[in-house]
Parts: sequence; structure tokens; C-alpha cells
Amino acid sequence: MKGNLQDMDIIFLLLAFSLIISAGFLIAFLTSARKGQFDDVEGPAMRVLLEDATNNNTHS
Amino acid sequence: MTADQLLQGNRGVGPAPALVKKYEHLQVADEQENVVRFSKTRSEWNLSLPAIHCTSCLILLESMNTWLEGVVDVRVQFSDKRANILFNEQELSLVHLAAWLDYVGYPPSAKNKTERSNKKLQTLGIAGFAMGNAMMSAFPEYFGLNEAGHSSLLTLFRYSTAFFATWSMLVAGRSYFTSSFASIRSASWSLDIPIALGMATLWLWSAWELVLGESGGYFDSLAGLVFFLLLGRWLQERTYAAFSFERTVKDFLPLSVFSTARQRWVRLEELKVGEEIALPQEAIVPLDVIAKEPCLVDYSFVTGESEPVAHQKGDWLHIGGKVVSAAVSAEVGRSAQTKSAEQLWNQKEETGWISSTLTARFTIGVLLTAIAGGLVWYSIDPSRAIEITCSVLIIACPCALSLAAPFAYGTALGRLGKQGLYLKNGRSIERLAEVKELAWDKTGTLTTKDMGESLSAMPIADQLFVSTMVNRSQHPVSRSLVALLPDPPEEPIKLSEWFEHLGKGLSAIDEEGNIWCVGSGSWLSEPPGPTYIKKNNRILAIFHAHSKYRKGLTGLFERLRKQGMNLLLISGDSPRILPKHWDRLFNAGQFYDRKPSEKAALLQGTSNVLFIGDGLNDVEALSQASVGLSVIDGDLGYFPKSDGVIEADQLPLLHTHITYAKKMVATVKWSYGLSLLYNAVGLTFALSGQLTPVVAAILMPLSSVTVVLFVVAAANLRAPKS
Repeated sequence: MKGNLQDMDIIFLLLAFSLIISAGFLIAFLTSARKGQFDDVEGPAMRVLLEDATNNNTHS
Repeated sequence: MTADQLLQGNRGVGPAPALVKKYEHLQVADEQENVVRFSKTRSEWNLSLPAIHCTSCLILLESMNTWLEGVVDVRVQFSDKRANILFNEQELSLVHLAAWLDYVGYPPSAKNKTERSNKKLQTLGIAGFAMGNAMMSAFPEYFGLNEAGHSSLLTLFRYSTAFFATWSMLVAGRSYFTSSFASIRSASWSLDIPIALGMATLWLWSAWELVLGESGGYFDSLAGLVFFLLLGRWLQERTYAAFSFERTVKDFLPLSVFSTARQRWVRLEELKVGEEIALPQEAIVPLDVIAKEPCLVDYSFVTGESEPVAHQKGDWLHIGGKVVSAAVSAEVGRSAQTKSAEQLWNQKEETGWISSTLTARFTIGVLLTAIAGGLVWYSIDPSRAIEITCSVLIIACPCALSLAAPFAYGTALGRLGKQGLYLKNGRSIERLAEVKELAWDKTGTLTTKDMGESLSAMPIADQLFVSTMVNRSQHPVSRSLVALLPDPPEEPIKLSEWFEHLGKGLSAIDEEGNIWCVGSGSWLSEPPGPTYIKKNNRILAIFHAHSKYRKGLTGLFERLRKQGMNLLLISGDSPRILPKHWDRLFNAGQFYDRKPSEKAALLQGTSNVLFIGDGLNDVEALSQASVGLSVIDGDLGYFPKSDGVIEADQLPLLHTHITYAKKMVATVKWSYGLSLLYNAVGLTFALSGQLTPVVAAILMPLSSVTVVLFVVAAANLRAPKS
């Protein structure tokens, strides 16, 4: 039984890692939502055409 | 004016002084108009441009800095139909910027920035994250991780589940608690109360079990519950947003008018009732006013009706009409605040999917069951009484119940939208399902905009004279006549006198002293209907313009009659002969010569009537009927007080839409039954003292998911084929 427990200790580490990774995704989602990346989902697709049409617009 | 022409820097183009004058009030613009002045040379204006609708709009506006001096940068927020313009105010004043925008076809609108936050999306993200992690750390226990083997691991998993669920409830699910407190304070029963109560009890009970070390509690169910509830709310809001009529007439109204009383341009909000204003030719009526002199107003923008309406002194001119006669002075009838387009919309608004009586009964029923269960168990086994009361509150949480209607009606609104019927909300579907009588407006609803025209023959010399005479007039009938008659001769025929009588016709005297009249029957004392051309009071020719009926209506009427519906015709016109079959189908239900207010009076006191009209003219009738539908030809316009709009070519399918609405109401009732059945099963478990975390974890998501799947599948399968 005792050896068994030692084998399972790796879970604690894995759990911590998986949490950090998923928390990273959550933070990425929240910041992008807060910065307005989901506010206008149609505009950017059209702006692709704009750069070609005028060539001198400097949106970045 | 195309972007190319602008880019080539054509000189002499630009807004006319009159257009610039229209925006003069912007000289005083400040934060109220979303203008921020960073420095003397750098200002930013965030404004609504409701005319934005396509890729070209975005390209033209965002390249503005290349064709208009003074503009530094433009950024369009397409979804909101807004733009952020960075400009140099020393090179280009705000007034000129606004005039330029108007000139290229994007008149700035008075609409203020609405804080459209994506808070709901963010909380949904948090709830999803919490649910995933809570479920993940709850799994090991379900799969046989036990105290004997791995006590430290088990504790870790249990506490991590508890942490995620608590976080989810406090951060993402907070709105359920705040809204139920609010509804308790206002002494109304909202469905949020049993939900919040269920969540709170679930948490308290689970925390108790966790601290005692007996089990991991129901934390994973709690996290799932919060996520599914929020998902339902988010979807509901999205369907609302997708089917709200984005453009209202307010978006196209001028920001200001010229007040004759104050001799300057004034913001609409500052106008007082009774103040005299001047409306130049071609001006859009910015708010409801009372005409001080006769005028012609074209409401085609709001109603689709092509004939301008002749107004007399003292008549109401309605918001959104366009003055086509010479400039008129008018008096403000209602101030801008009391009658904005949005308010008109909201008058018929009802919130809540489920009737408040059902909600109240449900909540009270749950509370009574919980107390009764606790009391019964107190007599059997006092130690378990609290546990039983709690588990009743937990399992009776009306998650499925609150999801059924939003999903069912949301899907149905989408399906109907694809078929050209855009309804306002789920309540409109419910009311449409109850319809027993259909009242139809005639002009513009049963008839198309296109006219069939015929002009009787007359000598060529007369034709040339009449052509000269009508060529001067802008009235639609005159324009139709011009198209039918030969062009006026190159050497102009002299008219010694020429008059346009508003709403009546034209008169002229030629060089030989003959009196010519072109006008309506009532004016020329002839039978009503056609337009008469008279020379010296003798009929020379008759011009007939007859409206054409829309196609496929006979079939629709027959099917509606077969479904047991009653048909009414309420027309503002003089009686005209209906197509043969219709007379039988409408039989006694024909009303003619009804003024808009009389149309509404006819519908007063009736119930279950669907009124199909064409917009502004029928506003009163549309609001009086239990369901008001506006017919649209092409563009979306402005439809105050309607419950929805239907595309004209979809009109023949209206009977299938009504049948579908009936089916959807039945579906929602079935789904209520289904979720109440789940509740009954859950209550049996709870009352018999067998509600274990596993049962709760299976039953609660299962009920929500099956109910949602059931209603969405039913809404799609039963939708009429297009």
C-alpha cells in the first residue's frame, strides 16, 4: 500500500500543471474578451479587403 | 458620388451650405456627443452612423483620411454601426465633418453609445472553466478512489471541486442571487428565487458534508448547474439581439432643427412643445409636429406607401415623413423625450417567458413540499429532517423549466426569420398561436406598390399641352402622366396661368383662355377613383391607376378559412370591387373609408386578432390588435408597435407560420410537463431520503440537456418547409 501511495504522488504535480495551463487559457480568453476582440466579429474580415484597396492605410 | 471620384480630389464637390447649416448646432458639441478634445489639433469623435451596411461602407469611411483633409484616422465598429474618427479640428471643424459624412451618405445619428458589454460572455467563460475543472476533480471519486487507499488525494480532489464550484457560484452565478433579492423586495415571484435557493442550499449542504468528511457533496452538480443556466441566458440574449430590428427611424433623423422662435438651430431634445420650427423642402420630420400650413408629406420611407399624403393646417405630421412640398412651418407636438422610436417599440414589450402565475405556484409548491417533507421525516427520523428539506430544495431547482421556453422560442424565431417573418419575441409567438381572426389593411398590404396604368386617348395637340402642364408638378400622378404622354415640344407652349392645388390637382389657362384641369374626381365633381383631364369643364381623358393585388393571396385566404379563421378587410379607401372569390371569403367583414383611428376603434375590445398592415399609417390598429404585423417590400424601415414584420413575398405562407406558432406553444407546454416529470422523479428520490450526490449529478444535467434537446429538435423538425 505504501509504495502505491508514492506512485500516486505524481498526481499532485500533474494536477498543479494542468491547473496552471487551463488557468492560462482562461486568462487569455478573459483578456481578449475585455480588450474587445469579440466586440466586432464582422469588421476585421472586411478590413482584409481594405488594405488591398487603398494600400496606404496604417491600421495595426 | 463614388469613392473613386472623391479619391481623385474633385474640386467643387462637398456638402452644400444648407447641409453644413444642418449641423451648426455641433459647434457646441462636447462629451454629450462623444467628442473628446485631446489638444487643439487632435480630437476624437465616436458617433453612430446607422447607414453603414456593407464592406464598401467600411472601405470608404476608413479611407477618409485619404480624401478629406483634416481627418487623421477612422476606425469603424461594424457590428455597432459606429465609427471612431480622429481629426484635426483646426483643419476641419466638427460641423463640416458631420456635413461631409452626411454628404457621402452617412448622416450622423443622435443615437448615444450604448455600453454593450461582453460581461455575460466573460462570466460564461469563467463558469465553463469552473465546471470543467470541478467535474474533472470529482471524477476520481466516482471511479472508486476511496478513503482507505488514498485519503490525502481524496481530500485534495474534494476541496478542489469545492473551490471551483464556490468560485463559479459566487462570481458567475451572482446575478441569480441579486435578482432574487430584488424580486423579494418588490414582492414578486421570479423563477430566480427557487434557483438561488436551490444553489444556496446545495452549497451549504455540500460544505457541511465536506467538513464532516462524509462525502464530496454536490459541488460538481453545482458548477454544472451554474454553467448551463448561464449558457441558456446567453443564448437567449443572442437570439434577442439577432432579431431586434436594428434600425429605427430615429437613426435617420436630423440631430437638430431650425427653431423659428429662437432663430437658430436647436437640438431635438431642447425643443419644447408648441415651439415653432421650420421644415425646409426635402426635410425629414424629426418628431411629431402639427402643421401650420398645408403641405405634402411623403411617408414612403416609413410605410412604403408611394403616394405623398396631403396635410391641412392643424394636421399631425408624423416622425419620419419627408416634406415634399415647399418649406412649411410647424409646431412641436410632442417633445423628443416623450416619443422616441425606442419607446414606441417598448410599449408592447412584456418580459418573462413563463407566466408569473406559474412561477409563483411553482415556487410556493416547492417551498411547501420541502417543509412538508421535513415535517414528515421529523416524525420518522428527526436526525434526517434537515437533510430531506435541503435535498427537496436542491432537486426542485427549476433549471430545465427555465431553459425550455428560451430555447424553444429562440429556435422558432430563427426558423421563422429564415422564412421572412421576423417576430419580436417569444410572447409574440404565443399570441400568434391564439389568433382566430385576421384583419387586413388593403393599400400596401394586399396590393403592391406597382400600379397598373391606363390613359384614354386624346388628340395629339391636347396631349402636348397636358404634358407641358403636368411636367411642372412633382406629384406622383403627374409623374406617371409625364411617362405616358409624349415629351413637351421643344418650342415651349406658353401657359398664362398655372396652379397646383395640394391634394386636388392642377389647373392652367392657355393663351386662348381655355381652362385646363387635371385632378381628382372629388375636386372636379366627378365619380371618385380615376384622375380626370378636363378642358373647359369637359372631360378630355381619364387616367386610371389601379393597384395590383399581391400574388398567392387567394390560396392563403382559402386555407385560412379552412382553418376556421375569420377574415376582415379594413381599408382606408373607398369601396372598390374585390377579386371575385375574395368577396365570398371576406363576406361580411369588409370595412371601407376608415381613418386610422377608426381602424383601431374597430379592433378595440377584440381579442385574438392579427392585424396585417403596412407600418406607420396603421400604428394605432397595429397596437390595438393582439398581434400586429407590418408588411415590408424590400428594405427594413420603421415599425412602431408591431409585433413583427413579414416580407411581402412570404405573405402567402402566413397560414403555415400560424400553425407553426401553435405547434411551438404546444411543444413548450410538453417540455414544461417533461421538466416537471423530472422534478417529480427527483422529489421522489429526495423525499424517500435516497438523493445521493451521484443521483443529483446525473439527474440535474440530464433534465436540462434532454429538455433543451427536445425543444430544439421539435422547433426544427416542425418548422414549415421553405
